[in-house]
Amino acid sequence: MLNASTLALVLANLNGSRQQSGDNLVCHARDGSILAGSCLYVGLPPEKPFNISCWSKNMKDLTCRWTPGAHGETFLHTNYSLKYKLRWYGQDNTCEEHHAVGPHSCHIPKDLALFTPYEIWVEATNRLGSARSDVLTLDILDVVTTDPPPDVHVSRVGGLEDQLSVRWVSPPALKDFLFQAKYQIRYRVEDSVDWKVVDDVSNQTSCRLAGLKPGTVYFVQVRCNPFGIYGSKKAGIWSEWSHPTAASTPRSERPGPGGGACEPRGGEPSSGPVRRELKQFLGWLKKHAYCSNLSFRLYDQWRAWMQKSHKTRNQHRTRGSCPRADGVRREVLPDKL
Amino acid sequence: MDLRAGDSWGMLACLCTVLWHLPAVPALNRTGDPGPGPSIQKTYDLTRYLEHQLRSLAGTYLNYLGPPFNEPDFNPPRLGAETLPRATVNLEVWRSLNDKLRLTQNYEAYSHLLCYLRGLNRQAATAELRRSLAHFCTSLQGLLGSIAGVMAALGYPLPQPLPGTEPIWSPGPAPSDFLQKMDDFWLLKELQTWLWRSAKDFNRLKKKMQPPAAAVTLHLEAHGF
Repeated sequence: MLNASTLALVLANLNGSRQQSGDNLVCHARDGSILAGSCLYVGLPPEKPFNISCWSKNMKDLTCRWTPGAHGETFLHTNYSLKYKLRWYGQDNTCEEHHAVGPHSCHIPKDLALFTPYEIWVEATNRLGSARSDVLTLDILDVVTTDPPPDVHVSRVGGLEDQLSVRWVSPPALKDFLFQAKYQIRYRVEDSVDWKVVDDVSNQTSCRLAGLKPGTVYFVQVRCNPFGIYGSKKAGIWSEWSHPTAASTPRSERPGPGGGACEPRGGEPSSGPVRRELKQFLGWLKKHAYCSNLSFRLYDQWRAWMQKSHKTRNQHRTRGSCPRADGVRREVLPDKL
Repeated sequence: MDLRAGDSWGMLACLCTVLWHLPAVPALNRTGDPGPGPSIQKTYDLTRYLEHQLRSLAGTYLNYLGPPFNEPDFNPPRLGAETLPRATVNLEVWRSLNDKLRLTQNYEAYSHLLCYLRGLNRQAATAELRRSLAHFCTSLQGLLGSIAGVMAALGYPLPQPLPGTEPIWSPGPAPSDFLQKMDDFWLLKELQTWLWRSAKDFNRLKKKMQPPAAAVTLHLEAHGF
């Protein structure tokens, strides 16, 4: 309520406008009739955007993503503009393809240069002001990523109840790049959210997962990193994970006093020295339950052990997974059971 | 030649005909030779070595030039320096370069850069700097020879300078001290960028020439299992 001679008014502590069209401000006469009105846009000037990250898919383009300051909540329409410039040369460029991978992202499809760094920043503007992020400097060759490996297949390894074989294909775009590829595999049991990660799978397109639970459905994913681009010793950026592929391990068929599937754990009555040795070995193998991590020495030890006990027939077969030594790639092919 | 203020190397004594007439590298005997692979590898290794050498040379030289040239965040706009061979290249263009063009661009770039570097050496104030520069020039000359070797092995002709494009010395007004230093700065920058690019060029060539790696497959014979 104001008296008749008031000419100005300060409204303090207003909440931000809930909609883009603003809020109505209406002046009423004492009798309720409307005297005048206006539209009020209540908001905040933008805060400094941050956390810019960029990547080049298959060395063809550049996509960048950032986080707006103050969670982007300015209550006003705010324009975000990704700018980039080749260091030493060139003028400022503005990225045109907005919302490439979400609301705060942009895609630069062409006219990119190599061997000189880019300076990249984001400018946020609205009617109350503007803000500029810190400048990110990067080289295209340092932020290369690729597609996830296509054709991921997971299959059983004969009747082995604790192993699954994963095979995939190198992303076809890599062929053009001549990079080395590094892979990572992750797998989880069907009703779990905990992934187990197999790291450091270099330049192979298959892997044997060991130490798994029998009779269980597993989900497996693979992703790829273009490592050592044109001779550098650096890793690129990991691709997205491939679509999950599911497979199940065979049910345990071992007869035993407990009946049903049982894992070699302590406390079971021994049924022969070889069985015991095998259980011990399996127990050891479970601890090293990822492929290509068995050193060649261990693999030889295992072979020697196998030859030692080859006279004793046993329905269980154990195979190591894809060991590697000194860059020589060896693939252990399962014999028919 | 268009003389611009700050374009000092265009005016340096640069009778570099000797560079353009390197002794012809004898063609490799094709029968039984390992191919261009080893010489590509050698060239690649040389670029890495030179890159390493340049790092210490540039550090010393920029300190000699003094601030702001030796400041790490010195970020000047690139004006002038038009005659320097540019390593920066469009992504698509670089990827689609054929081997001959790739090698030729490298050869021509280093020929020019060596020429300018020799000019720099002539003016360097301290004996130590002259020594370092001379040593680097020798290494760079080695790199040029190595590239020429690769081109010969692959049957590509060495680029011959077109008449009129050879850098010739023309006396002119001395540029300002600051602009001269700016030119020196860009020369070192461009050398750095070229060496970094060449490592990638030669690595790409190396991979292309490599025969596919043979996979060793081990069959396990299960005795009695």
